[in-house]
Amino acid sequence: MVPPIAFLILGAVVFLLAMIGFLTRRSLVQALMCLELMTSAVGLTFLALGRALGDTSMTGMVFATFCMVVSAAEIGMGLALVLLYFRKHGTTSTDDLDLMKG
Amino acid sequence: MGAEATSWFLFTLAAVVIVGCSVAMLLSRNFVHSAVFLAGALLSFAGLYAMLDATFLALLQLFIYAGAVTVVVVFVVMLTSTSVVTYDSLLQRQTWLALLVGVAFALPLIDSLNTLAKGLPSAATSPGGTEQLARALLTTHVAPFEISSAILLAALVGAIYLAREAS
Repeated sequence: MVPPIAFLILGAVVFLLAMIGFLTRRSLVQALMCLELMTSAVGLTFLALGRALGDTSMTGMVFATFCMVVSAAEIGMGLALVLLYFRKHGTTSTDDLDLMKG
Repeated sequence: MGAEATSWFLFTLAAVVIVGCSVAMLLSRNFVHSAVFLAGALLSFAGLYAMLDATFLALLQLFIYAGAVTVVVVFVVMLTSTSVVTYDSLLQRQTWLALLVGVAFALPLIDSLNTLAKGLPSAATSPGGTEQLARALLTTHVAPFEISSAILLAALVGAIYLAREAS
């Protein structure tokens, strides 16, 4: 079997890549895509650790499930906000986002 | 030996696809291409979840992420008519600062992975499948489970309220 540490390293690498992408992208849509990658990487870490620690109460899997739920809610709201902002201001570039009020 | 080699092969394949798709997603100037690369990465994550005996979560990942989320992202990309980057640079001006933050975050992460590598048992045990997950979700973790359904409902209603055409 592949040792759990390999899954943990992969999760960390993808999380870092996505985090740097999230901080550097100019487009809000791409930033949200990076957030999706980050939550998937965190889910992988939860699952790998849960299995490595032989956790019979399934805490790792339960956490990964909630991770997924929160991220689904976040992408729905986030994309709705992006759409709203684009309608009002005609741009989704983070450099131009400086107004909370419409 | 056969099973060992196969699982390493599958893991390496998924890892290469995930890292490659992530980098391609970040570097792509066309957002529809970005969304497709995202779907590829999320599909491979589903494969890894299945390798970790989390078949139910692998299916969820397949339906919700690779299916629904990708479609919604493509919709938004097309509705905001910004599918191709028009500005001169993909990156913000503060790129070096972001890299600095990345390094500052990576160093403790590497350190903790180092510690984990020594402490983790190498032979992974399989705690159980979908039945145990369902039991845990509906007994021990029933309160967060119900709250998460309320969060999803609130997000759904909020998204519809925000995105509807103002009349």
